Amino acid sequence: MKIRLYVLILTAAAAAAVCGGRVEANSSVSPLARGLKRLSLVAVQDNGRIKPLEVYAAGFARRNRDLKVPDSLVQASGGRDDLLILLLASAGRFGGYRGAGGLGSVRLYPAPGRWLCASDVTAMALSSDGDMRTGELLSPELVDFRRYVDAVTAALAYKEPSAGAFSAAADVLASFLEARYDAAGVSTSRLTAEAALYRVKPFVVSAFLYFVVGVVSVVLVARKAPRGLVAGLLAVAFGANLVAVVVYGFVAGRIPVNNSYEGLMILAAALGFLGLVSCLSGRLYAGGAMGALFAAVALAVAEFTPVKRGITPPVPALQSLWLQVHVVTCFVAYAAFALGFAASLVVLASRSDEKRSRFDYLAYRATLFGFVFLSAGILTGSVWAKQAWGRYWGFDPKETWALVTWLVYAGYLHLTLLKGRSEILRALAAVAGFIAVAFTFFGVNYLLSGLHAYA
Amino acid sequence: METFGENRSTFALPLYPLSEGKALVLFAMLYVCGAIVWANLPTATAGGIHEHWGILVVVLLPAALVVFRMLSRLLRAAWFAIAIIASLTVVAAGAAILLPTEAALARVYRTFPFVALGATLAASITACILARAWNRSNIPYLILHIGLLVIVLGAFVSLLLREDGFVVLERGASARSMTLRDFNVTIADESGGTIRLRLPFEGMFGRLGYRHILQAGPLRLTAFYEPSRGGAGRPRLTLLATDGAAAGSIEVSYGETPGVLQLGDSSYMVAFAPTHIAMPFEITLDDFRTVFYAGSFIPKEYRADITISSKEDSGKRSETLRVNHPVTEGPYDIYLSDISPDGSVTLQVSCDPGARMVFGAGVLAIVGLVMGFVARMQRARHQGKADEN
Repeated sequence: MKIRLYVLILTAAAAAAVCGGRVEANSSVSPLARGLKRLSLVAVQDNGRIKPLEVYAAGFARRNRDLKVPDSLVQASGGRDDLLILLLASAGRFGGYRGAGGLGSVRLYPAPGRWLCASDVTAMALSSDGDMRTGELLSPELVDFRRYVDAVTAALAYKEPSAGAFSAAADVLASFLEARYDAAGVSTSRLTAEAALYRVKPFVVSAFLYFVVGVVSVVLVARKAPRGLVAGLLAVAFGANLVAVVVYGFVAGRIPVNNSYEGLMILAAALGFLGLVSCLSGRLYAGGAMGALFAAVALAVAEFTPVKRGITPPVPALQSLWLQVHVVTCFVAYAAFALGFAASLVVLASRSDEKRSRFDYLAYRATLFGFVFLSAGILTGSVWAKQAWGRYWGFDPKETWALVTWLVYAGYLHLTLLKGRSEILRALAAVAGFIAVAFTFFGVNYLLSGLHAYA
Repeated sequence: METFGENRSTFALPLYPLSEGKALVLFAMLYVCGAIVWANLPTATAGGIHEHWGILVVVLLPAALVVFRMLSRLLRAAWFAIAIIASLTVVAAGAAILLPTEAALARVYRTFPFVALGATLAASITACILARAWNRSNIPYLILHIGLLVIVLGAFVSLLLREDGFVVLERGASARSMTLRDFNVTIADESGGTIRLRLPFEGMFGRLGYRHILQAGPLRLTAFYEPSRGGAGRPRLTLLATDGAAAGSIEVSYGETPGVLQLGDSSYMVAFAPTHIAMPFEITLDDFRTVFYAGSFIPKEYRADITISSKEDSGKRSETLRVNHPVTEGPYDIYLSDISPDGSVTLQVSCDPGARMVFGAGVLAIVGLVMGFVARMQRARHQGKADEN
C-alpha cells in the first residue's frame, strides 16, 4: 500500500521546551512547528486512516491507532495536510475529536502551562481584558488567536472545505506559533537535531552497519585476518551508534534510559564498545564479531518491534541520578553476558580442545566483567528503590529476576572451583544465565506485573 | 580454571571435623528442629522474634557456634556453595513466575525455608572466609565475601527490625501516629481486658501461611488467614476459639468493624486491623501540589510541604517532600508516596537499620569484585606473555 508520509505536531507547550520538533511535509519544510516541542511521524494511508509510524509524543499512538480522517478533509487539505493532521492529532490527544465539526472542544491554543480550547478563549474574551483566571492571555494575543481560530474553522468547514482556506489557516497558525515560541526561547539546535533524527534514522543505519561488520568479521576471523581490520570496521559501526545515542540524548535533554527502546540503544552501544575492547586487548578478536552481531540484533529489536519508546519527559520517580547509573551499568552487564553467551555456544559446539578452552576463557572473562557490572547495577538500583519507594529490596518481579540472573552467574563463577573439566557445565550455566538476562529484560515486562513498568 | 586467590589456610578450623555425609545428616536434623521451633514461636505475644533477643544471645548463639564449627567442612565445600546458589535460584525464579509479589512475600520469602536458606548461605560464606588464608592474594576474595555476608546479615536486620508505615493527611492536618502494614487481632473481653495478637510473618512452615495457632489468655485460637484476591476485597480472618468449656467461631475482615465472638456465657469483641504506632514526631501537611509538564498531563513533580515537630526538643522544621527526595528525621525516613485526586496525601514513614549495612557492604563487595577482576586480568596477561616466550 502506498503510504504518504507526513510529519505531525503534537501536544505540549512552548514554555518548558524539553525537546524540539520540526514539521516536514514530504519534501517541503513547513514553518508550522518551528518551535513546537514534540512531533510524530504519521502516515495517512490511502483509506484515510492515520497510522502512527514513529511516535515521539506522549500517548498519541496508543490512543489513536484508528483515527479516521474524513476523506473530504484529506482531499480538501491540498498542500497543507500537515495542518490537518496537526489539528486532528491535537483533537485526538485531548479527547475532543468528534469529526471536523467539534473544534470548539479541541485544545489548539498553546498558553503557558496548558493548552486551551476555543471555548476557554471565548470565556476569557467575554470576561474583562481576557485574563480572568490565569492572567496569561494578553489582549493582542487574544486577537491573534481569534484570527487563528476563525481561519482554522474556515479551513475545516466540513461541507465545503477548500485548499485555499487550509493554506490560509496554516499561514496564520505558523506566524502565530513562531512569534510565541521564539519568545519562549525554544532551542533551534534541538529542533534541527530532532528533525535529523527522524530523517536519517541513525539507529537503523547503525543496525545495518553492525550487521555488515558482524558478517564480514566472522569471515575475517575465520581466515585469521589481522585483528586491526576487525577493530577498524567495528569502530565505524560503534561510532555511528555512539553519535546516534548522543544526538538522541541531546534531543531528549537527558540520558536515554527511560524505556526499552532507549535501553536497547545503550545496550547496542555497550556491545559495540565491549566488542571493540575485546578486539583490541586480547588475543581473541572473535568477540568483536559477536559484539557487532548482537548489537545489530539489539537495534533491530528496538526499531522493528513494538517495544516501549518515545522521547517523553521523565515522571517524578524516574528523575534520579541513581536510575541513570543503574540502567547503564545493567546494560553494560547484559552486553558482556551476551558476549559470554556467544562464546559459550562456541564452546558447546566446538570439537577441538584447543578451541574450546580458548572460547571458554573468552566466555569467562566476559562473564566476570558482566558480573561486576550487574552487581553494581543491582546495588545502584536498590539505592534508587530506597529513595523512590522507601525500601531497598521488595522482591518485585524485576528485582527478583535480576537476583536470579546474578545467582546463575554466581553459580557460573563457583563452577570454576570444581575439579576436572567443567567447561561444558560452565557453558551451560552461561546459556542459562543469558536466558535469565533476556527474561529479566523482556519477559518480566510482558509476562509479570510489577513496579518496573517503565522499561 | 583457578579462582581469585587459591591459598587455603592451613590451620584446622573444625573442632569436630565430621565427614560430609554425617554433617549433612546433622544439618538436616537441625533444619527440621528449626522449622518446628519456628512454627511454635510464641506468636500470641504482641511482638515478633526480635523481642526475644535474650534467648538468641544466651542460648542460641553459643549453640550455633559449636554447630557451625562441626559443620564448617560441609559449609565451605564448593559443591555446597553451588547447591545453595542453585536452590536460591530455583526458589526465587519459581516464586516470581508463579506468584504475585505480595503472595510470594507471604508464602515464600518470609517463610522458614527461605529464611533458613539465607541463614545457611550466611553460614557457608562465613566458613569460606574463615578457611581462607588472610594474605595478599586473597584480599579481593575476602573483601567480596565479607561484603556479601554483611549484605545477608543486613537483610536479616531489615526483616526483623524494619518499621514501615504510612500516614494519610489532608491539607492542614497533622499526625502523631502511623499505620503499619501489619495484621493485628485485638480481642476484648467483657471486663474490658484486652488481648492483642499480632500475626507474625504471614506464612509458617508447612502450612503455606494460612493457619496460625494462637494462645490468647484463656482462649486457644486457630486462625485461618485468607489474603485479598488480586487486590480486590480485604483480607479475611476466620477464628475458631475455645476456652476449654465452649467453642465458637467468628469471621472478621481487615480494617472493618469488630465482630462479637460468643463462647458459652462470655462474649468477646474481635477486631482485625493494622497497628497504629506513635511516631517520635508530629507531621503537619502544610501544602501539596502536582506540577505537570507544560501542555500535557505527564506529572513533572509531586511536592508536599510538611512541618516536622520533634517531641524531644520541641523544635519545628519545614521541609519539602518530593518523589526520590525523602526527608530524614532521626532514624526515620519520610517519603511522599501518593497524592490522590480527592485531595489527600499519603506519606510513607519507615525506619530500616539494615539499609545502611546493605549499602555499605554492597560497596565493599563491588570493590572486592573489581579488585578480583583486575587481579585476574593481570595474571592472565603475565601468563599470556609467558606463553609467548
